[in-house]
Amino acid sequence: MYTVAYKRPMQKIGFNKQNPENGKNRQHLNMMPLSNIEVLESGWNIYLSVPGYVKEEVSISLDKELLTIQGEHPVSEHSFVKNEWNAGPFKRSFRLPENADTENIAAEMNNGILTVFIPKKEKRVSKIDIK
Amino acid sequence: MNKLRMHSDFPVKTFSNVLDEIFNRSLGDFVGFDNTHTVPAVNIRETDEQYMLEMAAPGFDKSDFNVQLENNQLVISAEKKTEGEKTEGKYARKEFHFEKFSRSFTLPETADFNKIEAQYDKGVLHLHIAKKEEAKVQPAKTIEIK
Repeated sequence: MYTVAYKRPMQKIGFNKQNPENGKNRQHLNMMPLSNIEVLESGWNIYLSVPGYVKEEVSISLDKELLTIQGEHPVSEHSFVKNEWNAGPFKRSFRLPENADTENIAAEMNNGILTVFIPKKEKRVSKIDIK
Repeated sequence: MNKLRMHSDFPVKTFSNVLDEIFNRSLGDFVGFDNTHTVPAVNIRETDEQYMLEMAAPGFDKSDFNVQLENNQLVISAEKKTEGEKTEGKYARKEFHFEKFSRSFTLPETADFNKIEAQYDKGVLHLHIAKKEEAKVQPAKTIEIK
C-alpha cells in the first residue's frame, strides 16, 4: 500500500542517450530526478536526487494535497563524448495522503539530495467529561 | 517407485492463480531487475586541452570516494560510511540507492596520467584529465615567406 502517491511521468525515468554532435538541441530534454520515499512512524521523507543543483534553483510548492518540486538549471550546451545524465529544468509532483501535516513540511538540501519531510498529523483525542 | 505426495505447504496452483501471478508482476520481476539506480551516471566531455568527467553521485561525502589509476584504467569507487547502527527504513518507492559502487574507464593514450584533478561538489564528482602536450590541438601557424 502506497501512502504517498505520485503522478507517473509520461517518459520513462532513465538516462538520456544523446547524440554527441548536437549540443544545440538539448532544450527539449525531459529531466526527471529520481526519488525515494521513506515511510516513518512520524511521517514521510521524500528524497530527490538533484546533483549539480544549488538550493536557490529548487522550489517546493503545495497546492492542496499536491506537493510540487520544481528545479531550474541551465542546460549544458556542450557536446559530450558520453552523456548519461543531464541537469536542467524539471517538475515532479507528489500527492500527499490525507493525514499529512501540510503546515509543518521541512526541506533541506545536502550533497545533491533534497530531503522533504512531511510529518503525520497527530491524532487529537479530546476527552469529554461527564458531569 | 516414489509416490508423489502433496505437502501441506505446497502451493496449489490452479490456472487462475497462475494467471494472477503473471498479470500482477511487472516486467522487472520477470527479467530479474528492478528500476533502482545503483551506479551513478557519467558525462564525459572533451576539449582541446583536457577531458572532463562528471559523475552524478549524490549523497556522498568527499572522503567516501577513492579514485585510482591502474595503468590506463581509471577506477572510481565510493562507499558510504555509516557510523553507529544503521536504521533501514521502509520505502514506498526506491528509484536510487547509491551506497557502494565502482566504475572504471580506460583512458586514451592522449591523456596525461600525471595531471588528473578531482573535485566533489553538490553531489557531482568532477574529474579533469589533462591531455599530453603533443596531443593538444596546436593553433595554426603561418609561415612567413622571405
